[in-house]
Order: sequence, then structure tokens, then C-alpha cells
Amino acid sequence: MRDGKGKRQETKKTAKTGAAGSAAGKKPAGGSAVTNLALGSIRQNRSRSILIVISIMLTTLLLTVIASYGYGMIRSNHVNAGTLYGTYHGVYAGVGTEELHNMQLRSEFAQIGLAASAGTVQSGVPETGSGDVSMSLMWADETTRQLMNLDRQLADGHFPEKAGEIAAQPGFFRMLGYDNPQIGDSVQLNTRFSMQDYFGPETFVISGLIKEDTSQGTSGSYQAFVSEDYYNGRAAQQQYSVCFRLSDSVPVTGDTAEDVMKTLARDCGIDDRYVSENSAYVMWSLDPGRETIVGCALLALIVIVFSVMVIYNIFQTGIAHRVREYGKIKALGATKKQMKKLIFREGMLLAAAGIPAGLAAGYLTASVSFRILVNQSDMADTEGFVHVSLFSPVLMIAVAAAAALTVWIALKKPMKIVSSVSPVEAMRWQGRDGKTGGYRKGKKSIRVTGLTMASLSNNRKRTAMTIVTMGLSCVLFVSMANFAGNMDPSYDARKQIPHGQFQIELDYSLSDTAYPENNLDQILKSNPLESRQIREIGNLEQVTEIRVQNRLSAVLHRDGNDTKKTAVAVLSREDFENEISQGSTLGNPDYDQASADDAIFYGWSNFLGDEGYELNDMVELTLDDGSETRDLKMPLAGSFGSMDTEWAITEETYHKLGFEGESPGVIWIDCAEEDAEELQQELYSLTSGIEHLDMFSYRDALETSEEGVSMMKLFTYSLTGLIALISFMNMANTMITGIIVRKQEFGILQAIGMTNGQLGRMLRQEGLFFTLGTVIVSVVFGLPVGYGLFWYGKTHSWIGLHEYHFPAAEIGLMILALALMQLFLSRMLSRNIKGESVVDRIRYQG
Amino acid sequence: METILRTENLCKYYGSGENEVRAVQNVSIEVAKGEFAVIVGKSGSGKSTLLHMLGGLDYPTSGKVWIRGEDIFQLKEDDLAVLRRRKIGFVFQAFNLVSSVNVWENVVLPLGLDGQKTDEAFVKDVLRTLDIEDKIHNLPDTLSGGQQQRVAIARALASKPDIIFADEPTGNLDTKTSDEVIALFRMSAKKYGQTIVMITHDEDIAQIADRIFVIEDGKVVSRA
Repeated sequence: MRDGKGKRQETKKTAKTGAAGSAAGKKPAGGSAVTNLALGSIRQNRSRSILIVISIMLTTLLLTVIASYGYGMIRSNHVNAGTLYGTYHGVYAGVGTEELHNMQLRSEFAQIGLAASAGTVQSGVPETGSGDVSMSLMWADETTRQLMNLDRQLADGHFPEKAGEIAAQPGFFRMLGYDNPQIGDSVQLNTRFSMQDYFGPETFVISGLIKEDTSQGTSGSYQAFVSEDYYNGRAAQQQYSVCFRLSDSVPVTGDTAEDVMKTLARDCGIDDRYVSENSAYVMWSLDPGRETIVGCALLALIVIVFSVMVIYNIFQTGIAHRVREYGKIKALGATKKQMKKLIFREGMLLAAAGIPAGLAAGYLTASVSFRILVNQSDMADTEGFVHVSLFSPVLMIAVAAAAALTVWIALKKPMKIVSSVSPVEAMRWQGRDGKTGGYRKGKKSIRVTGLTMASLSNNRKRTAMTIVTMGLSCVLFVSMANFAGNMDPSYDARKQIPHGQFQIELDYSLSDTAYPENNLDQILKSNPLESRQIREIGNLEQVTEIRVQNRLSAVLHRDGNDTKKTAVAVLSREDFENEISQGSTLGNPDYDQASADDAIFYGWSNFLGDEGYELNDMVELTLDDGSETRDLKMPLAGSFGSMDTEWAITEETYHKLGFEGESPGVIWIDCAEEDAEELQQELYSLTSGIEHLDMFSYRDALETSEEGVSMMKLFTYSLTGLIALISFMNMANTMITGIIVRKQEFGILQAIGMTNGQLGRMLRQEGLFFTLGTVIVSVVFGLPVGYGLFWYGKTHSWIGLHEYHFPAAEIGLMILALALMQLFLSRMLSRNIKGESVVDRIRYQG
Repeated sequence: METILRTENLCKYYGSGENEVRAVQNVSIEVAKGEFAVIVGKSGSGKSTLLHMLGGLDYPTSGKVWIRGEDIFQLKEDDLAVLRRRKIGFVFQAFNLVSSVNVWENVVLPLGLDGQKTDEAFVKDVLRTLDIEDKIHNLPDTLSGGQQQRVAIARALASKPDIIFADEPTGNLDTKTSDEVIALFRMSAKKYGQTIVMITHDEDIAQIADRIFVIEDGKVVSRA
């Protein structure tokens, strides 16, 4: 059997050499001779050529995927910006008829649509006007409906045209007791136009039904549309929200749009505080997607650097033998230029095979996975949403050019070596690092381990390059794992429900003059959270813990006689720290310092200026817990990013101010997770009859967060998976190349008595050395990069990024995968070597 | 005298049909223990192929090789490797030194692979004789062709094998060193009872051999 195998291999070798020889021998000189020599070299070094083609293909694939994703995201958002976010650039609120006239005179506004609040609808308990759900009436003209895509939301009928017509979601009518609303049905609603009016009954005819939006049911707010006549009949003084589209002649970009809109508002006599930009539409329709392009370019740059190293490494691994071969060609009279050309052509011929394959595979991978990702998101369900094609000839050419550039950079060093050494030097070239000076201290006796270490240290550059290349791909993996692994939907849900499984809070207004009993100051006088039923919650067997946050009503005394009603949260140390950890704070919030100074904090740092306060101002106010009041001047020590209330003080300050007893504004109830459903029912039945209370469950909040996080994770893990796959292939490539080009050396070692077992051991030791090096490189560089990414994401409030966890499981998995791969490859390769006679191995020329 | 090496109808063919090349044909030879045998023949006559098969580096198409009565191609690959490092020494025409280790390590490598302790005095003696004792820390590629050949010879002698196969070991050496190397081979053969099988073009060396095999077109045409 062995004889036969040996014979077959000899025949193959003869044929191979023949092919190379004939290719090289067709034309003695000139450009085509160089091309023929390059082709001959490719054929002769088939294994190496295949590995380089695979590497180039994978590089191109990855570059294509990154570019196509970036292009797809920008294009999809650009094409669908209007469909998803409406085609208006902004809205001016509180616009009177004079200001509106000013706007209509200006050519900067291409379209102007009017909308206005037409009152609220009473839900819940009719006698008091309180309720669990906010239900408002609104009028919007045709232009507004078109700019905001409202017409597309109509399921049946039409928007109100006559005074007594109404259009809303079926859920709106169901909330009012009309279970099966139909077009033409009459409905009676209790409405009022403003806070100064009392609720009164009104009959409407349903003119249109709007598509059901499931998210509105959970957020507890409904909006119904009425006609212009209805609005005009009730408004003493018209005040509109003006929705507009700027004309194309106005020079705006994503960065300048808001300022331009504010300037225009001022020119029309509108307070620029009432300008709100349709930022999503503005960003995607005006901005070229700079962030996406920068992100993709950065990722592509990493891939290019990484690929240059891989391809360079493969070229370099076999360079010693190849330089000797090139030396012979040089000795025959080839010029430096011809030698450079020879290597360049060889590389480019391989690129010509790898790049188109990579482009095709990359485009296919990108378009299929992009489609899946888009379909996973809600936006694909939006009517009129267009699935964009990811194909762009310009992009494909750019990717091909980038891949070719990658190969060219990788070829530069071999080109330099071959063209700079003399023919004689070239023929004797060993490719040694040169730092050892040709000496090695060595040992008295040498065994397998010594041989492994000698090989690694003698080829320091190759060893380092292999480790860095493999390490770099793992750096990408570790960084991404750091980022994706730390996305925590529970953190996001905990932003809404900070403790326990359920949150019951006061539902209040601040300045309802018609129904002052709905205001916080009045509610606190007979706080429903202190009612008998709520106290009973503590006795429920499922309940494990109850936490309370006190709330005070306050009246701010500003310049002169200007007063404003507001609410103040009383924060425990934990809640205080929690608010700090959510970022975007102003000042330097410190619980102890704040308690010592009896300081007050603002709740929304972005709006502190609008409120007319600055840090360290003295805030003059009256605090009220429902039974006692305190007139105070409190130092404004800082602001949190985003709170439920406008103001906050510490628990210690609350007690120091002498408020006796509790003034609960929120209570959190905890239970074992398996009891949550049962407890929810009990809590519903306990609170159902009580006014001014809202109840939320952690599970609902978590579900909503999980939907968002799963989308982000899917995207990140898809990319990480792809990188991991390509990295794995490249690592395998690097290892296989390293072993194949050393086949001759292994043959020599076996000729002088190394057994297959010893050879296997040597390869395993090398593999484990590379694994160890790779792990060190990936952890040393990957962790800081990953942490940086996490930190950037956290400070930019990317979903679910809060607490950093060391990605131990992912790194463990990576180490295991690396070790298994190394062992598998060394076993497979030593088996592959075994198939040949020792003489064949010694004669092997790559 | 004890026969240490014997072949029977040893053949090595490459290709098939019209393209068949018969590199070695029906070679049946015997070499006695302690003999200094040389194989002579023109370039391409099949000398190296025969030598590789005698040392178990290449597999024959048919035929057998016995070393100390053991049919070497019946051995498992690893056992054959162990036989090579313990009983056989090779000197290749192309030196075939391991580039990553220095001269000393190259010489003692077969001993290390076998887990044997190095006889340092003997190795030093061999290196001195071959005039490369001051090169022991050099890496092979810093040496001239002749020096590399001497390292290859030292490596073959270091493990005191029963039989040394040498493929033109003096081809790259000057006359003086060449004479010294042959003297060393002979001395070693006498001292340790070693057998030498050497390919050579050198008529003078052939003259002092105990046995000469002349090979032509893969066949042994005369023996003396």
C-alpha cells in the first residue's frame, strides 16, 4: 500500500513540476514571461496559493459585509426616514394667529400644517375626573396629517370634517365602554377644553377608526382626533402647534437644522424654547450618516490591518524557500524591477481569484443577514417601509480596491527582500531574523521541547506575527463580547421600576384648577398610599419586601409674585446613588454633603437653564407633606439626568426639616418571581377601587426592554460570529501554512529518528504556545478596547449598558475554542504528513 | 562474517505504463558487519534512491531490506524511526541540518530524541577531528557548504550507529579534509564495529573500500 502511495505522489510531483516548468519556459523575457513565471509559482506552491486565496476571500467578505451593512443602514434610513418618522422638519408650539401669518409670509417654509389640542376626555371615575389613562382630543389639518403620516394610520373611514365627528383607535372607545365601535356609531364622552373648564357630556359620531397600536395600551395614553370646526368652536384664542417642512432652498444640515429652525422661529416672533426638531427625520434625511460611516471605516481599517498581517504572514512563512527560488531567477538575469513585478503579479493573480469570490460571498451574507435583522425590528412592519438593496457598484469597486490594497501592502516586504538581495545571497537565504547574529548559545542536550523552543525563538518575527495576528482577531471578539455581553435589559427595566416586582405610585396633576383635588398637594392630604387597602399589602403572603419613597408637593417662589407648583422626591441613599449612576448629572451630587447642606437637586439636567436656575442658586420654596408646610431657601447643589419629579432632596434633609411620619409617593413591592403573577392579581383587586394610583409591573417593563436589547444583541452577535468565523479560518490558515512550509524540516527530523509521536508532541507544544500568546494578546488589548466601547456606550446611554462585567464566559469559550482548534489542527496535520515517505518530506519544496 | 545489511530483489519504480521509470531494479546485495562499502555509478543511475531505501527513508515498490536480520519495512513507522536514530546514521548530499538549532545541538539531536545521555567527550573528539569544534554555537546557515557537510558527518557519527549511510559526504570538502573524514569513518568503523555504505565519485576512496557496488540504470552490474 505504501509503495502505491509513494508512486502516486512521485507522479503528481513530476506532473506539477512539469506544469510549472512549461509555464515558466514559454517565453524567455518580457512582461508575459513574468506573468508566466508568477503563474508557474502559484501552481507549484499550490497549498500556499490556496491558503492565500482563502485569506483574501475572507478579508474581502468581511470588508463587503461591513461596507454593505453601513450602506444598507444609511440607505434604508434615508429611504424610509419619511415613512418611519414623518416628513416634517420640526414643530413650533404655542403659535398664535399673528405668528402663523408671519410664517406663511416666509418662503423658507415649504409646507405648514396646523394642529392643536382640543381638550381632554374623562375616563375612569366620572365624578372626579381622575383616571388611569390619559385621553386627549386633538385637531390636525390635512397638511399635518400628510407630514406626520397620520392618514396612513387610518384603518377605516376618514378624519373628522364636521364639528361632531371623532376618529380614534378602537381601544380609545373601549376604554369608554364602547366594546365594538363602528363607523357611524354615536358615542357620548365627558370632555373639557382646558384645565379651567369642567367636564361636560358631548356626543360624537365616529368618522374614522385608527389602526390599533399595542404600545399605546400599555403606556396608558390615547389620542382622538376631532375636526377644525370643533376646535374653532371652543378655542377663545387660537393657539397652534405648527408642523412644517423647510423648503429645499434653505441650506440645512443635520447639525445646523435646529439652529436654523430656532432663528426662523425668532424671526416669526415665536419663542425659540417652543421649537422641537423632528430629529430622527432630520438626521436620516439630511445627515449623510457620518457616525455610521466613521464606525464602518474604523471597523474596515481594523480588518485591513488584521488582513495585511495574515496575508503578509502567509507570504513571509514560506519566504526563505521562495527567496532561494527567486535567487535562481535573478541569477538568470531578471532585473530588480522584474523581480518586484513577479511577486506583485503573483499576489495580484491570487487576489484576482480571491476578491470576486469574497465580494459575491460577502454580498450574499450581508443581504441575507441584513434582511433578517430588519425583519426582526418593528420598523419593517410599518406600512410603506421599503427594503433597500445593499448592492452598490461604487461600493463593490471600493471594497475590491481596499482588498487589493491590503494584498499590495502585504506584498511590499517580500518584494523588498527579493529585489534587494544579491542572487548568491538569495540562493543561500534562510529568512532568519538576523538579530541572533547566526549564533545560538544552545544546550548540551536537546529534546523535543528544546527543539520547539528553538524553532519558536529562531523565527521570532514569524512567532510574534502569528501570535499578534491570531491575537488581533481575538481582540475583536473580546471587545465585542465585552460590549454585547454587558447589554442588560434588566438594567433598562430597573430604570423604570428600580426596586421589587411592582411599583404603585401616586397619579397626580400639579395645577389642575378645575379639579384641584387631582393635584398632588390635595392628594397628599389624604394619601391613597396610606389607605387601609395599601397597608394590607404588607400582609399578603407572597410579599417579601416593601419600600417607600416619600414625595412632597412644593410651591416655587420665583421672581416677584411668580409661583409654580411642583413635586419633590425624597431620595434614600440608594435611590440617590442610583440616580447618579444613570449619568448626565450636573454639579457634584453627594448624599452626605447634600444632607449636611439641606440642598435641593433638579431632576432634568438638560432643562435647568430653561427653568431659570443655575447651580448654587438659592431655591425659595414651600414644601408640603399634606399636613405640614415649611418655607425654605435651599441651595441648588446639582441636577440628575432624568427623574420622575422636577426636584429632589435627601431622606435625611426630609427628617431634618421636621416632617413627621410618612408621605409616600411611590411604593415598591417585592416577591419571589414565581409568585409575581398571583400577587399581581391580588394587587389589582386591592387597588382597583382606589383613586389617584397607578400600578406598573417589572415584568412588563423587562419584556419591553428585552425586545430592544435582543435586537441590538442580534446585530452585535451576528457581527461577532462572523468575525469569529473569519478569525478562526485565518488562524487555521496561519497554522496550516506554518506547518506545510516546514514539512521539509520535519522530514529531516524524522530522517534522523524523530517518531511521529514526537512530531505530534512538538506541533502540540507549538500550538499551545501560540494559544497562550494569543490569549495574552487578546486579553491585554481586547479588554481595554472592550471596556472603552462599553464606557462610550454607557455615557451615550446605549440600551442596557450600565454595570461592567468581566466577560469571563466568553473569554473561557474563546480559550477552549482556540485550544481545541490547535489540538485538532496539529493532529490533522501530523496525520497528513504521515502519509508521505521521509524522503518525500525532505524533498518537499512548498 | 556476520551480514549486517541484505537486500532481496529491491525495486523502485515511478510512474506507470509508458511513463514508468525504473530507478532501482532487482538489487540483491549483502554487506558484512564492519565493512566499508561504496556505491559508484553515473548521475541518475539510482544510487541515492537505493541508499534511501537501504536506510528506510523511502519505501520500495517491491523487495526487502534486512538490517541485522530485521526486515525493516515490516516495522511500524515509529519503530523504523527508532531504528534509524539508534542503528543508522545518515549523511545527506544536501546536508539537511536543522536550521533552528546550533551545530552542537544538531550533532546531539538524534541522542536527545532517543532520550540518551550525550557522550560529550566523544562528540567533542569527533568535532575536533572534523575541525569544527570552534563552530559549535553557530547556526548552520552561517557555515560554508564544507563546514555544513562536516556537521552532517558529525551528527551521523555521534550516536555511534551500527551502520552509516553517506551520500557523497566528501563532495564539498577539500582533499585534506576529505582524507581526514574518510580516515575518521574508517577509524570509527574499526573502533565501534561500524559499517559504512557510501556513495562516491572519488576513485581514490573507491580503491580503499572493502566492497564496491557499481550501479547502472538501477541495476547492480558489478560487485567487488
